[in-house]
Amino acid sequence: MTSVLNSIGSRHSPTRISDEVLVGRLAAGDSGAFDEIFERYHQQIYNFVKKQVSDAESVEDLVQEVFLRVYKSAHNFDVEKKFSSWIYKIALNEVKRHWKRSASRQTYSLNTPLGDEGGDTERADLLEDQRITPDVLTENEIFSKNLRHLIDRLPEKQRMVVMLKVYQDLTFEEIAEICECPLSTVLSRMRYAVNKLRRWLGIEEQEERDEA
Amino acid sequence: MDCKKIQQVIYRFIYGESNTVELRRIKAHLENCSSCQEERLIIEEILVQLKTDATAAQEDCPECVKDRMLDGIKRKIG
Repeated sequence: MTSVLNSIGSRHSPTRISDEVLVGRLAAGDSGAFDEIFERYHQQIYNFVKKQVSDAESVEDLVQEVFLRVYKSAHNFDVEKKFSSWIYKIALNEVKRHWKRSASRQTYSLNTPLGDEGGDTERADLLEDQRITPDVLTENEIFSKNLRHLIDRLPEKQRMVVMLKVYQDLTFEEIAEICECPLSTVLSRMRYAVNKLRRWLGIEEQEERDEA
Repeated sequence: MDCKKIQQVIYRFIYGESNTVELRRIKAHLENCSSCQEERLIIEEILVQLKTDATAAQEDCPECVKDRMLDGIKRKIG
């Protein structure tokens, strides 16, 4: 159980140069530091962006924008903060900007079958529609227990916490920094999200009183 | 620590992010509260399922895409 949930610890070797030191070197003009940062983070950022944006070309553009911002803003990085939180915050902002530009939230890689013929716009409209509730889930959806599908039906803020926690293995404190909200809010969003998933999956839950 | 408070901090506990004091209090509560212990096990089960699905959904960034992105960045940097 613990090994499945706590995979983040295995990502970092205690002997390698820290991300924070690397970004300091980048700020001092060491281009080799940028290559190392890209090497360490391109996979995670690529996966994160890919789960939010549908077309491959936009994914690549956005990932490039994220690393360009890292390059250009390295001197602004607060060395007291975690680099991973900083780069994910940049990535999240880039994704949000993209959503605004395209006026739709896109979730290609989650393969959400909200309508076989539905494109991203239709899907985004459905997802943003507050009238979409668990009641509209079909029996097949429930029985298939397709969690990725269900995650995509969560309210945006709750969905983002789940994505950053489960898919990106970040700590709740990192997520609080990225989402710019208190830790208690992140924990509430996680709890409400999991409780919704339980409800949709038909698993009994403790009573909820309010929403995050 | 009561059951309501446990609900607020259980996720930090499950992911091993509780501080020492919180950890001790949660453990003490769980040892004496079968309801919260059962709740914890259900949550863990869901989280494991979520993690399993997430792992299955992870896609490696193809080398050619990685190279293309890095080239693009370096071109923009100049």
